[in-house]
Amino acid sequence: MTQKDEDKNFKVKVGARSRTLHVDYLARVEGEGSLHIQMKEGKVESARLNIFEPPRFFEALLRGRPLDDAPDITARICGICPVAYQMSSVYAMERALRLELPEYLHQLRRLIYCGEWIESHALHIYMLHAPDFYGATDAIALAKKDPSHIRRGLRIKKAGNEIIRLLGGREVHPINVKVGGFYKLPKKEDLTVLKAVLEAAVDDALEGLSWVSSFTFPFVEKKVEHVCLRHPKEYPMARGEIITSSGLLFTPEEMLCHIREEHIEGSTALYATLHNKPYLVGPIARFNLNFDLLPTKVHREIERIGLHLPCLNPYQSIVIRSIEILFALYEALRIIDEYEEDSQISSLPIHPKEGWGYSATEAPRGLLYHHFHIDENGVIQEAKIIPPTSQNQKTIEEDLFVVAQRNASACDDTLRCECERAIRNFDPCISCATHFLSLKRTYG
Amino acid sequence: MDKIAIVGVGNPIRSDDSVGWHVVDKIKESGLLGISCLKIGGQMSELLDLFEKYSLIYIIDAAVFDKEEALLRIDAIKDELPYEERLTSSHGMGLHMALKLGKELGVLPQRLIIYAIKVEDLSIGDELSSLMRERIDMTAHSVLQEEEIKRCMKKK
Repeated sequence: MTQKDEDKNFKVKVGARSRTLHVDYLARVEGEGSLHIQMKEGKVESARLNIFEPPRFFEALLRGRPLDDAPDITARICGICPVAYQMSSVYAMERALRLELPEYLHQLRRLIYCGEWIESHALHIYMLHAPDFYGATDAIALAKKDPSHIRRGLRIKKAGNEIIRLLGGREVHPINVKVGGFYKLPKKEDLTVLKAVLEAAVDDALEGLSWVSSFTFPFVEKKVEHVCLRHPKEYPMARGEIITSSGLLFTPEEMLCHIREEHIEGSTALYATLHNKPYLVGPIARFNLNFDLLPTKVHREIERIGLHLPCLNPYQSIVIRSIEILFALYEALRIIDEYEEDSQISSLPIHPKEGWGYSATEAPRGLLYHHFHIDENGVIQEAKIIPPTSQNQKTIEEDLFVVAQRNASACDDTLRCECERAIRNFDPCISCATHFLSLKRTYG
Repeated sequence: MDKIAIVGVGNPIRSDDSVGWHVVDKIKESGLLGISCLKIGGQMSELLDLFEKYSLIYIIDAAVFDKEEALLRIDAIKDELPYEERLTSSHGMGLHMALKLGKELGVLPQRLIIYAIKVEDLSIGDELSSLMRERIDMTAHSVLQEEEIKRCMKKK
């Protein structure tokens, strides 16, 4: 953002003993939101991440639609993680229909999910988060300092996009995913071409991991309950039960027995709590609770860069995302190697029946929950979506409070920058949290 | 010979945000030879890919701005894209960022013309508001009057 833009967006009201920091536009966070810190006599009174976009309408939009509309409509909730919404919706629908997919279709879904993790994490690391550690105001400034890093990030992102394009029919808002499987299966020869792209991306991912792990990180140890999927055999993406760091284990069907959403005044997102407490979803939670399921070659890299477990520093989420990019590339290559094209059907037939379906999958930003109720004609009667960002919102605000307090005596520019950094550690996708993006900024 | 693309940017379930796609559909009815007519969501990486493939790009997108005109034509290579008049996008990083990053990375096309259509309704929905039909026709007509496009019209 230019200096002119920053002047417009950044208001400070300073009284004799109080100070209010209000940033109308958060730089480099998906979607739009605002940050409000209220201080008095050097102490933080409140720290709020306000979402002032229109409230979520997608759940209402889904009601009355046929069940096979769900993946196409939910994919539009977010342009960065459409696959996550498609996966959560198709798995929920298949559970409602009591449909059991053959393993090769699960693996192909895992492959397209790898594509999304790669492209979403690369976008966040290189365009949004790395500038914070490189002394750059944004990705443009980072490109001015050293364009090789941005080029690397774009190559990695493109590799992820290529997976989505091949499995999903196009890079953004894929059209090949359906309830029961896919409309069309990939050809082995096309996967062989993709394999070469992914192998080259592994070199970029290794270089990127070395780069981010060389950054200087503030020392923070954040203790908060971690929540994520856990599967007996695979690092979780689309299957498994839900576990917490305190030892809870429950199914997606039981999610709302443990997690509650509430609306807070001033925000159009819903805040989620686990038994009335904030919790964390996303790469750090996944990594800490599923480290043992990463392949040996990823473990070797983790050892090489000297990352200790558990990782409790939100600033090091950039390293965890880089590790997950590497994992997703290796996993994609494994799935391609094991894929057999012969005599496979692309999807199972659907026979509508009344039922409830629940699912939770791991979007790049964390656990994404869907449930649906469909009637005997396969028409959606009820839909519920809990995105990862609304689950993290309370935890983000806790961090904001601490960061603001730590920087209470700093100048306004430093305070603002540190607070924005704290938010970016979580890679919040505000567009997902409210299922809509605010499109016009007005400045008072 | 220039590689030319006409690109509609938008989201089909955000009401008027799909107007760019409708303009591209209208333009395709005219019959153009050797020009790619594309519809995209407007993500920065999609745009950077297009910048590398085409030497002349016409982008048609929904926009929110305070001027009286319903349609703005902007030469995005010669002129700085006005911040207040930045085009709407479904994502935080869209055209504005793609242009700046493209410049830093040396991948901008030779020419990039933006047609920004003033829109009324960006709520969730798959219908256009009543004013859009007229603006679609107006924009398609304007694009088809561009010199480079007129040369590629099919002779009837």
